[in-house]
Amino acid sequence: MRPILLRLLLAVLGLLAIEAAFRFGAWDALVPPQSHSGTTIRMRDAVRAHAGRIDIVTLGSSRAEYGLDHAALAAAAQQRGLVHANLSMPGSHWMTIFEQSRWLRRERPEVQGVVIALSAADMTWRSNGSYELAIVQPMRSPWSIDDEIRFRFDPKDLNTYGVFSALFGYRQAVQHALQSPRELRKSLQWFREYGRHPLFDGPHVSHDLCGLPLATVADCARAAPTIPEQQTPIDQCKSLLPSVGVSPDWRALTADTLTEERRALAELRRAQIRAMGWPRPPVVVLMPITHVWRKELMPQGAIAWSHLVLDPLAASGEIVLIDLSTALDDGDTTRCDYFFDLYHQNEAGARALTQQLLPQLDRTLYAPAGR
Amino acid sequence: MNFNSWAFVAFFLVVYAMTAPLRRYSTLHKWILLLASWYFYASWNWQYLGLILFSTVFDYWVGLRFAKTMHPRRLITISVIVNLGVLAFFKYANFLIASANDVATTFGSTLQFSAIDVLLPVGISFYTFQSMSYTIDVYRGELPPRRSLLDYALFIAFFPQLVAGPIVRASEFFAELDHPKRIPSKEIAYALILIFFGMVKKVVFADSLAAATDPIWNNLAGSDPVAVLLAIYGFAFQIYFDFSGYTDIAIGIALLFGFRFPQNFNYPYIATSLQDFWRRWHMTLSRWLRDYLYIALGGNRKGPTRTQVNLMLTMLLGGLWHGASWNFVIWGGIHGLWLAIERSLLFRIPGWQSERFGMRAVRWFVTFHLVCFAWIFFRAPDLAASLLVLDKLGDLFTVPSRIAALQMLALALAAFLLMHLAGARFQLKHRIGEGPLWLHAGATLACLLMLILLTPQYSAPFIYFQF
Repeated sequence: MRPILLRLLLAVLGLLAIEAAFRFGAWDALVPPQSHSGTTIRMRDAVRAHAGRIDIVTLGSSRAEYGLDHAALAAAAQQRGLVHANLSMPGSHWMTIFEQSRWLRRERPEVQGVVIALSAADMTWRSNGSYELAIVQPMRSPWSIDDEIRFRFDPKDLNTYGVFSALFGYRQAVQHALQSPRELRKSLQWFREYGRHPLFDGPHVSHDLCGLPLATVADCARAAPTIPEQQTPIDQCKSLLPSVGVSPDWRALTADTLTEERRALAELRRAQIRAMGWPRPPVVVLMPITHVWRKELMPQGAIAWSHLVLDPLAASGEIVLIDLSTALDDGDTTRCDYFFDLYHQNEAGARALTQQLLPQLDRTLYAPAGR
Repeated sequence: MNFNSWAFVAFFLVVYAMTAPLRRYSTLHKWILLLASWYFYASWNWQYLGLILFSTVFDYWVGLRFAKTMHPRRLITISVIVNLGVLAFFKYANFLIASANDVATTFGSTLQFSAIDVLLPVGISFYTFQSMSYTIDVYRGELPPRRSLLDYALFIAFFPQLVAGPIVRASEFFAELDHPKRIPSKEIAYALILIFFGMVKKVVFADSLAAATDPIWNNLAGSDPVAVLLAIYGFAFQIYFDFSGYTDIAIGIALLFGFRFPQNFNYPYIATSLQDFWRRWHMTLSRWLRDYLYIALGGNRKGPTRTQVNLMLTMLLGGLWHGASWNFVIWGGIHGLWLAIERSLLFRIPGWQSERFGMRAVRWFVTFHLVCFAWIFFRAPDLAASLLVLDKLGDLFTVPSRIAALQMLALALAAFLLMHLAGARFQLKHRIGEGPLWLHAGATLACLLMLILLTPQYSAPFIYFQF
């Protein structure tokens, strides 16, 4: 029996060695740049390549990536002698924000302030899906597992085994590399030359939603595109159609009427935000949400719920809360000229929002009195 | 409890840990294996445990009665009728009802029978055949009746082969129990390689092919002809990896418990005739059909015409054994017809059986494509879908296809074919399994890595579990 055990033991040791190599980034160079892990690697490499100091960072999802004028933020900070970098990444939810914060404290201990730009929709549930494990993988410490990451583990879902293993964490990246090696080589080359994560800028999209009927998701889903750019929002509406009207109604929720599950989530989130340990109170920005999302897809009362969670932290000065959920509304509806799809603002929307945000950021983050 | 589930891994480890310290095939050892096997079966559906118990006790009793009865022929007839009756009720009753209803409708009758609300018990086709082989062997005097009900119950229920074979003969199983041989460590190492290779075949290769081709099979009307052609090749390899992967795991696990099971697959897609194919594909079923059906029908002892009829009957019934559907009958019919053609025509063509490379390649090409053609009827959900596939194939050279999108599937299939040929040529499983420590550990590591990194999200059930 001993020779058999030796054979198995050798195989397991080999596996552990490869797991360790993956944990320390052996696969990073071959991760598709557009994938979740690839996006993080580009952000991580951009931060590492930046020679100067970084004082303030913006963390958040694609709502933040598209929805803020990062160049304007960087310029405003620079006027105060500060460096404000955009580290927002598509798909980021709270798990990413917490892991990114931990990574930044290891990698860039000089960072003092953080803008967390999410939306009320991101406050509704604890987690956004196992895909986030791939986002955080390249930033994770090889030695520890955060509770927010551990929470995602589901023994029935192989994708969540990435909680414990970097090999599983990079599964999709490896499969993609093997399925399309030529495409991977091309995209790696392109991103190496042109596709660096922009630390002081963001994407620029100029078209808007104004040609589409947007009274309801159903109206939008039925629409025929008149220009190619309308196809994406129409497809979004079609895919969202089954979710219309199925979200719960939280309008009656108050601090005194919370269910046990809601109370636990609120307390957990507050504890997690407190534990982030930034030198200065994080500025939490609730990003704008289009009216169709607010009315038909999000739980009714979700914005009030976000306040239920965050207001106590704001009241005690542990965060600065800026609610811009309806900042781009015109009456009952969101301004169609400020968005290019159901989630994201275009350049004009980003500029308009940043103009509203800047005075508050200047007061709380940039100005010497705020520091 | 599928072989590729954590529940099975835990179950196996517990059973192995409980039996490993015991003397092999001691009463306690056998009891633990039997109870574990019944637990394994009950985990699918505990209600059908009664069925397997009935089958066990009945055929055990029949075996013992042969020594006392004056009418052994009558007894074996009763045994066959009862065994096939149970199988027919659970597997074919609704098929017969539906067929009768179709016939009634065709002749303008309004008479319609209601379907029976019954679930197909997992593995019933396998353990029924196994049990029948015992009573027939005892009847033929080729095997003494087993006195120990415990031994007999273990033969029927032994969990590695219970739900999808290999179909083990009673004489082979009892020989292991009666004369336990020491299993050398090289064989244990081979067993481990079989288990790991089996897992990779099923979880990585078969499921990836299912993920790539199931959408085509589910949307035949909307798929272009090249996609349909690749889906046929894809299914040919999917079913091979699926079933032979299961068999590898079953044989490997049985070997760890001390049982040497017969080989069930021997690189079937290198076959150069259909006769050769059936010596390599589901070998234990081929053997069963030959020994208990083909030979019972007269085999080739009653002249060429009767031989062809016997072949055709054997293959038709072999097809029907797979499932209650006319498609399986057609599948068996295609094999039976081609086997008859080979025997009566092809093998008589001068030079057809030449061992020259060119001729062997031609024979391989013909055989492989005939097998793939027959798979259409095996895989398609019904006759209409099978005909739609044939219709699509008719458009292969006239309707343009999005070939670029299918390049990866085509490449993967070519790689599988090469692997198959290389595996057969170099007997890789044996060489690695019994090879030096570094080779064995390296292969195990490669399997583990493939299982971790390349398992698709899509998980298809073992195909042969439905039979």
